[in-house]
Amino acid sequence: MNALSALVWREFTRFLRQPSRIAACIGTPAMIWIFLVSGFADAIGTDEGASYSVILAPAMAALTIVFASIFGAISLIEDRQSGFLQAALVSPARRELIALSKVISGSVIAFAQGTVLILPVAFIEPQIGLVHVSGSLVPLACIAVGINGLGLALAWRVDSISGFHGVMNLVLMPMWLLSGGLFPLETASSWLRVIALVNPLSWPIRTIQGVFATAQPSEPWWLLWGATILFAIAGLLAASVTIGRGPRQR
Amino acid sequence: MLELSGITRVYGRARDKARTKQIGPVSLIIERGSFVALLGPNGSGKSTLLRILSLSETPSSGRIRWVGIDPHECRASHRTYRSALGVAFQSPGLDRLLTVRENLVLAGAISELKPEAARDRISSLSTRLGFADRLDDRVSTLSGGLIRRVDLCRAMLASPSLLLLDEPTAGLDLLARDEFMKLLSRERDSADSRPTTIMATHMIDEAEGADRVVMMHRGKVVADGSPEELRDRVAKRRLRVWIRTESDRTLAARCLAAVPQQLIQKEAETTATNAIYVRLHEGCAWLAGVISSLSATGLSFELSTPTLGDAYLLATGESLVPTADPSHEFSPEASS
Repeated sequence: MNALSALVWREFTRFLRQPSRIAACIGTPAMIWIFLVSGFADAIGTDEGASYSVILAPAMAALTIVFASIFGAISLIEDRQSGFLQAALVSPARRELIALSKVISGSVIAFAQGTVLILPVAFIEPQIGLVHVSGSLVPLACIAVGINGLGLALAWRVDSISGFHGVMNLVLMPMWLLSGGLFPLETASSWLRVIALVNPLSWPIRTIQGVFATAQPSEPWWLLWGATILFAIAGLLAASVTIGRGPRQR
Repeated sequence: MLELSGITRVYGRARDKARTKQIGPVSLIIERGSFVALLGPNGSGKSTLLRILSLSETPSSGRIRWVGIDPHECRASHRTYRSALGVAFQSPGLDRLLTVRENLVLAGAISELKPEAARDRISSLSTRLGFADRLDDRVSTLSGGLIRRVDLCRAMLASPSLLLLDEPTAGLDLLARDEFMKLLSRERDSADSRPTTIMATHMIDEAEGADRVVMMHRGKVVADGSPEELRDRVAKRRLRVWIRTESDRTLAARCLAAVPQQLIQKEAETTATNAIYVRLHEGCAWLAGVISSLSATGLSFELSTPTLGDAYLLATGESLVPTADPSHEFSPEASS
């Protein structure tokens, strides 16, 4: 086992030994999804006639990934507090590998959970088939890599778990709320549309919406896919560069 | 050989000088294979120095050289230096959700050990360190002493040539501490080539086992030498007279009248307010007379050897850990 696979294996083992983490990641978005659909189903509709539960599907899968990534980022802070990270950083293993192992494992775990949430849509909603769900997997994977990388880069600069909750509330949750996944951006006010334009999470969500045909994005496909892939690369780079620099100086 | 030249580390904002904190400059040359204890109270800078040595912190100035390698020179030298390192920090670098074996296999992998080599090392080290029967238990189920042993095993897994230990017995009871230090000594001796070991501690008895003690105070090295040399700076032997009341003090003064004044330690030079210390040297002609008069008065006294705690006090004017040093506790029953 080399350093990277050992570190990735550790993350998976840790995840499987914390069943509450799995339940929280999938359960919370599923609950929010059900409550939102029950409350707003008749109030929000689209020209395409898709049901609100389908409109929400990409956002809810993204939320599952955001939650899973938050757990992944928190595990970095836990590693630092427990002394594991310090020990790993002084080992001969390249520090970028430590970042990469966190991004890979965090992304796979988050992606798997996002897929678990979005998969039933193909069986519940007549407009969505397995083809649509399959088409959404790449943007979902990009969300997982991008958010994980971003979360890890942010967690690197935060000393405590409670401090990271602040980051989560100030950065990650607004990113999700303003991604255009909860409401149609086309009918939203102009300032919200501007925010969505600069919000990196709104691009993969709009790509999934396009795949699901729940919204007709005005942007060309190449731009949607390009921005989606760019988001993943940016997240990966953010984590690698930040952690690769080595232990934080006090 | 490990060479530190002019290492400093400044914390805080440069514009707010009143709130900045500095360690160093520290310059040391440490022989290969030696066991050096960094002795000092909390906040004396020993852990910071270890963090700098482990490359967890970058010094503000100064240079480290390990067998000719400057780890800060380039990425390659940084990695070469890290492959020579074994580090046990104050917080054990173990994952509590994993088993002992899983932790050690992981440590082997990130230390770039071949899987077979790691397996053999885990098997032999766990047997010698006495936890072979707990290899498949989760770390969260182990006692504090056992966790420390596993962490020592983790740090020594790749047979490091430079072993850094930051208060490795923190949180252990006396028995577990003693056992850990014995195991450390045995493990160092059994290694193919003895690793250069630098251990930060505030425990006098732990430092006694080192080849060399570097005393640190407020970020600076204040004394440096073998434990014996440092103790000898206080005195080879001392006469300790216990003082319980003011009349004891008067009686003691009468008995010690024949002693040259420069040999009686000032109160500020000792941590005990309930004893008078007299430095002894070869051929003290007055000693027999003093002992017989002390015996006649019924005062409690004993002949003792100074400790590293006394040497620290002499070097800094401040006590290291008064309560941890039994020689400073009042126990006339134990004296003759």
